[in-house]
Amino acid sequence: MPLAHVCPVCGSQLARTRGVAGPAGCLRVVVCTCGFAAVRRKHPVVVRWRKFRSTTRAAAFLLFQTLLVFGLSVASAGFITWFESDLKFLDLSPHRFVGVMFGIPAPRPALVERWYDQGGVAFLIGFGLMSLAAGAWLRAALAHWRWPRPIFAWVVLVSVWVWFEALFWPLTWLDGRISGTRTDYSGPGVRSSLYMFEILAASVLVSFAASPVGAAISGVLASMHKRRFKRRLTRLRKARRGE
Amino acid sequence: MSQSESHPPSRAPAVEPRLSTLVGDRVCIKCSFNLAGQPVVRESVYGMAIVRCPECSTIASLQEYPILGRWAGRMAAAIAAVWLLVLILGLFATAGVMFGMTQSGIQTGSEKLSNAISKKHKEWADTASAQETAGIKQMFGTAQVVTTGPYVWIDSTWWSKQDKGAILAELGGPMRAINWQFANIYTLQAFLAALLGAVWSVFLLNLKRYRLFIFALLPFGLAFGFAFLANTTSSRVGMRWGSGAYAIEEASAMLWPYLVGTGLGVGFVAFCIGSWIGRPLVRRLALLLLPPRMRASLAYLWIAEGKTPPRPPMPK
Repeated sequence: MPLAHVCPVCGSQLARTRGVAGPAGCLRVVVCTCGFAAVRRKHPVVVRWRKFRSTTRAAAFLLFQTLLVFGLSVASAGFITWFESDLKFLDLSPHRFVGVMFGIPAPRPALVERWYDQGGVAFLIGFGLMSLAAGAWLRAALAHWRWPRPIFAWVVLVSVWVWFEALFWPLTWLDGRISGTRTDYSGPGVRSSLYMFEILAASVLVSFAASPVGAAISGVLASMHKRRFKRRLTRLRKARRGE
Repeated sequence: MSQSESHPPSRAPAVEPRLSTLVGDRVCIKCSFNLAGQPVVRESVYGMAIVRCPECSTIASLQEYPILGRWAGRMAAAIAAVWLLVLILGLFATAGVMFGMTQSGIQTGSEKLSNAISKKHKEWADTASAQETAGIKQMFGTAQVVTTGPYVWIDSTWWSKQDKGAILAELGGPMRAINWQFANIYTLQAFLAALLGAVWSVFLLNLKRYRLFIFALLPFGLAFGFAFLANTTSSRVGMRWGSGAYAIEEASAMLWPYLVGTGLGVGFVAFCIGSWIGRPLVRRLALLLLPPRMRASLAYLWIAEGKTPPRPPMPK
């Protein structure tokens, strides 16, 4: 027996009466044969438990997303600055490095050989995979953003981390002035910045290429959600009919 | 049968225990009189909660949910108690973090003065008679050479005879005696305090934002209490061994009011800024990172401040 839904005017049992969409749209209204109308309500224990579950789920998802956006962007910036310092060591610019990969002779081939031997390939694969993951995530998790806005936001965010030292240099300078220590500028120079910009552009291109994967994941998730909702609706309808 | 016949004005029974007062608008189903503020009573026949219309005496039934046994209430009380415990522990954790960072700042900030103290102590030890340095020899043996630095043992007999004010004045006053490299620690402390302020502003959604500033006095008051207990001379006994203490302990005993005041002051301001911007920041993050379907679950972030929750986009 469902919870009591008795008409307060004529005493009819309204438990089995179907609720119809009321004038407010979102409220389901039960209309008795005597003309009395009431909003269909759920038991507060059920409502509160569901609200608690949905709130914690949303809060956990928000925390997860925040950590992911932070982690992925910082990791991307780390890869970019690391790769830039490696290229400086190899005496190569990013586009020249691509040329070396395709057989153009490097100015210092022994260093390039050593870099490859010391895990350069693994580094490049890791960087590529991370850029792919970032692209897929941008499209799947930020599906409510109009494409390609997430990519632009991503470029801005990663740039903030890459040029963090330069952006917050005034604060470092002020800190040095207060503490009385010598604080010379230690951020990236013009050449380093150009190299990092090139690497960032390449990484964004890889991320962009991975966006169809993200779109597919987003589509699968949406259809799964719809299917689950339909199943629930069917179950409720069957229960209402007493099947 | 007319509606008035179906609801004859009921006679008021002799004893109707008053349960509560109706809060919110509710119109009488017969005469549409607003029953807000009317007493909720329990009728004597079935024990139902009712409100009687003062105009036409029509009874308005009140929806009463069946009690699910005692466990629902017990669970609710347990959850509320756990939440309160989490908040209290969070309060102590916030105070602990601020106290820890301030103590770290005190250690760094006192290094300059401790170096000056240890230098003076060395000058004295190099020229003092054997009788005067008996304490040092007793502690470390005759082979021990008195050196300089923050973690150098200082003889308490010598230290008690020193004019502390004069040592500070030699360095140009307390502000010049402080090693300002502690600013690096306090920058990190400010960042952490702002983050904690943002977290607390979301945890205490029932408080108005300006009241969070009053709340901030709690963790920072606690942190000051810890710092006071840890730095006042009477409680520094544990830091002393033999007949002396480290130079940095003596220096921090002189400078702690300035360093604690600066550290907790910076932390308090950062905490207030964090608590002020915390809610708008979380709302912005929810808009940016959550799909519209999930935002509705966090609508209280908007409602708590009298704002309209974001509406989901209309389906095309």
